Amino acid sequence: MTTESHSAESVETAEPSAVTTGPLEKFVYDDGIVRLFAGATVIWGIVGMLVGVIIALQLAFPALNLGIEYASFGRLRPLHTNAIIFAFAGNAFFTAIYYSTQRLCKARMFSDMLSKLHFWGWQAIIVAAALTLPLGYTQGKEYAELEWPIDIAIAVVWVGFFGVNFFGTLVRRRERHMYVALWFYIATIVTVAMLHVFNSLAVPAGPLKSYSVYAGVQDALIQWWYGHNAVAFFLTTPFLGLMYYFLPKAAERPVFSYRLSIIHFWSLVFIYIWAGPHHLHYTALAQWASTLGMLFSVMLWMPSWGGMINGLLTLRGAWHKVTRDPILKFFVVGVTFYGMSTFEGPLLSIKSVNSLSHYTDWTIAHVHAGTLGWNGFMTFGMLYWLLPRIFQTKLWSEKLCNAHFWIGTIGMLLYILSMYAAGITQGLMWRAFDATGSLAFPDFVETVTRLMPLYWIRALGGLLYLVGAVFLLMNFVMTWMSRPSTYEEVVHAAPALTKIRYAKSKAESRLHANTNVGHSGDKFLQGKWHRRLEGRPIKFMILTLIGVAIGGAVEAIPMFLVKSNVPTISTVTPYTPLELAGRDIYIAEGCYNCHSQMIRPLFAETERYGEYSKPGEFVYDHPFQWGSRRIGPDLAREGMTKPAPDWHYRHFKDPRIVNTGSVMPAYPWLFTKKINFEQIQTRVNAMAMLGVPYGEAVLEGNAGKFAEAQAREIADMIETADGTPASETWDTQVIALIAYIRRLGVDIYKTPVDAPEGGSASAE
Amino acid sequence: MSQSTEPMSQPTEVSEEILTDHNYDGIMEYDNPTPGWWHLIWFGSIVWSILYLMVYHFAPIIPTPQEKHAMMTRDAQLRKYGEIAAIPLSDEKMLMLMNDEDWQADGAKLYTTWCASCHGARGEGFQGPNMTDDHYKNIKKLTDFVDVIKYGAAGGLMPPQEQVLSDSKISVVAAYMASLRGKNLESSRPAEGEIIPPWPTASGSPTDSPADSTP
Repeated sequence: MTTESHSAESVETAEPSAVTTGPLEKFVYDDGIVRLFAGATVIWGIVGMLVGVIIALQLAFPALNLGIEYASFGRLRPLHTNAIIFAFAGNAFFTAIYYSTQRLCKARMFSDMLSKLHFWGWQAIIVAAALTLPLGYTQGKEYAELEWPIDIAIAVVWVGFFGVNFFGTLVRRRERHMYVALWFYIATIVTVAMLHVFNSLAVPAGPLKSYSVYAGVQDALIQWWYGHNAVAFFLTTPFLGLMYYFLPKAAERPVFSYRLSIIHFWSLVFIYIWAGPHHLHYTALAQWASTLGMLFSVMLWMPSWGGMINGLLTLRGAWHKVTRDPILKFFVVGVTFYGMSTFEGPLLSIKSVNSLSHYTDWTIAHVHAGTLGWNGFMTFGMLYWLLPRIFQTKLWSEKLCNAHFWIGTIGMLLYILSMYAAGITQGLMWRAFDATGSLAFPDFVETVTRLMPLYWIRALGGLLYLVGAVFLLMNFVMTWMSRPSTYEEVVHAAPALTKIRYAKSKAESRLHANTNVGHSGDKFLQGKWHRRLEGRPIKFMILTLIGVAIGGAVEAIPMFLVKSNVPTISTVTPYTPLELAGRDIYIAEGCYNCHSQMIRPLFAETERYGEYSKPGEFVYDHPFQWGSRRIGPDLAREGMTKPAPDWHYRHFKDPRIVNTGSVMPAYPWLFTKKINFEQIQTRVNAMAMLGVPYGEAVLEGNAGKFAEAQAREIADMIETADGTPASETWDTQVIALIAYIRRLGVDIYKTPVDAPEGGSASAE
Repeated sequence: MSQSTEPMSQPTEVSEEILTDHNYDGIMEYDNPTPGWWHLIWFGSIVWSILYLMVYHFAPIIPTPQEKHAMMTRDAQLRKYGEIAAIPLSDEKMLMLMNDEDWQADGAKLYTTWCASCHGARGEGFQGPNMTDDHYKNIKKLTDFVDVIKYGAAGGLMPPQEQVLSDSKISVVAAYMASLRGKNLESSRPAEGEIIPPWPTASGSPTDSPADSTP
């Protein structure tokens, strides 16, 4: 129990003067919770990466799902993304927050009970995700797949346990001002809560089934407002906070610039939130929103780089340490990758660049530069720094730590470079024309098989990165084994904060002769107001919330209120009950992970898929299914070009019968599992609650009846075509899915009841 | 074990910098000004964004992606199909397209994109009938290809493409499909429909297989 050595330091650093100090208080930091989160980080990291390697191999070798529905790409890919984002990265920054917040506040966490509830609640959510996603329970929106009961649990754990615990600690702090790391944690907590709540609003249609309250264009806007800012406020701001604490700690250098911290923090949180629509360039989203998304992404470049500059320039005078210390190596590479991907982000958000990169592996390369490089390496650096401290012993093997750094770096480079090559190759192949003006690669599958060698390299890169993580696990376990029998609990002491603050610290204008505006401007630029703000956590939180609310509101409110953003098309009608059931299967199987349903108004695209998609076509799509990656072709007009049910029947059974090069998995289980006709009524009624005009289908019993009739009709068509007896097929799930696929993109070609001008459009 | 919470010493090589009096758990902060180049690029990006917005959204000088797409489609149609668009559909037109290497190449590409998934990569038939034998279900004469593609057949299993493909594209791909006749590829499907008379030749009299001359 060593009190003295620490108390001396505490008293010395209290500022601005003795006026503000109260009686000396003693306290002990809770490192047990840090140890728990650190362990969870490593375990879930390995699980998430392992699933990543498996699905990478599935692309190179589609039979690898072994015909098991729970192991198909469409179900495992969300598991991979959710595990990495929410389990690995989430636990990683919880580790950082729980360790650093206590020390930056000179206070134990507000409540040990809340800390535990947060930890175990979060792990329970992860386990629930790991069970429900392979089972096909999903809301069908990327990185927001988890169904409504889990969504509610996330909100409770995040706000009720984590948020209250964190802000409670801030309120009870013994350090007058909040360090920049805490600002980033505040931004993380309030913004993620806002994003999660608004994007997850849904009408339940069963214990593990719901429909997004938004449809089509509006759902897309909200989803990418969420999706992009999950990157911003789940994978960026908490890791910037992590960097601001652990990097100067490890380098033992002062942070480069306090002023830069202020400017880049506020500009980052304000600007980031606007950038979401850059995920929807050239889609049916209104142009103005798309442009805002692009411009704010470009303006975001320097605010993002502010973090990189502050990180890298903090290492001035410590570069000789970087060559020796693997922890600093991890940090340097992590921050460098942050700089790279925050340059690449604005680049990709430029519409003309995006027209090439969108739907390709370039996006995959970009996000992995961020996650493997920035999130992964910052986490690893932090953990290696923490291990000896939280386990109060020496790191088991520095050599293994070094080996992790090198194998991780090599794996990451193989991964990213192969995906750049794959993305640019496929993007260029899609838009290539031969001398006569025809598509140079008219068969879509050709543009995928060409990527196979790159997919193998990617899988190898991912595997190497995973091996590095296993090295970390070994080091973690061995270090843990050599921990002391009881942890030493260091008692710290610091004076309590008193109420009196800053009575005389107002800024004076430094200008001589100037207008009042000039003087107030100069006072503002001196930043003393910000110093005061750093002493007021709740005010700080509210200002942050206002900052992040503006961008989303400006983009979303007109999208909902102004009708011209989504012009309706009179011939577009709701899905039939059977088609709706089929759509649910489409969502459950995660088809959107490989297929888009959004043809962009680009010549190469309409030459391949047909007429580009219109906003009015999606008004009944709760949720939208536009997709973000084309490993398979776009399906927006599939109903126009492949209405034959027997084709789909055979294709789902074995895609390689149709095209030997296809990497799509077979779906044998859809041929044995039955359609739940009774359930369809609940689904239709839930949709009707959202305003979808279902007419008499909402009357009890009708939905199932209509669905049965349509199912028999389709089964009969298959029987006529290839002799498969309708009596054996009509009630299997594949029939519902076929019904849905046959409906895709056909409505705009139907004859309108009150014929407008010349029909909505064939390509020429 | 506890980490060092000693305040960090100011490194000598950058000693002209001002250290703030901040100290958080031993972490200190310089009061360095933000880099000039950083401001320059940032303000530059803001100015550029304003200009972009003005040019693209408040000045009607740049076409929207939809307008641009319509122009490109029109241009491509004129450039590529201008010479055949006006020729009325007839056996002669079909034969001309069937005997022209360039039109056949174009037809083959269109076939791969739009037809191959059902009629087989080489026309051997899969979900739709074999195109390489002498049996036909809905075709009696060359121009029937155009009608079947345009208006569909088999109760919609062969989907109408009149709203998907332009008339010119339909005639080019129809001519390509007609030229597949006589290859007699092995098919997973039985022969369907009836044997119909051979296609006419360019001079008007029937010949065995004009398809032999196609690539």
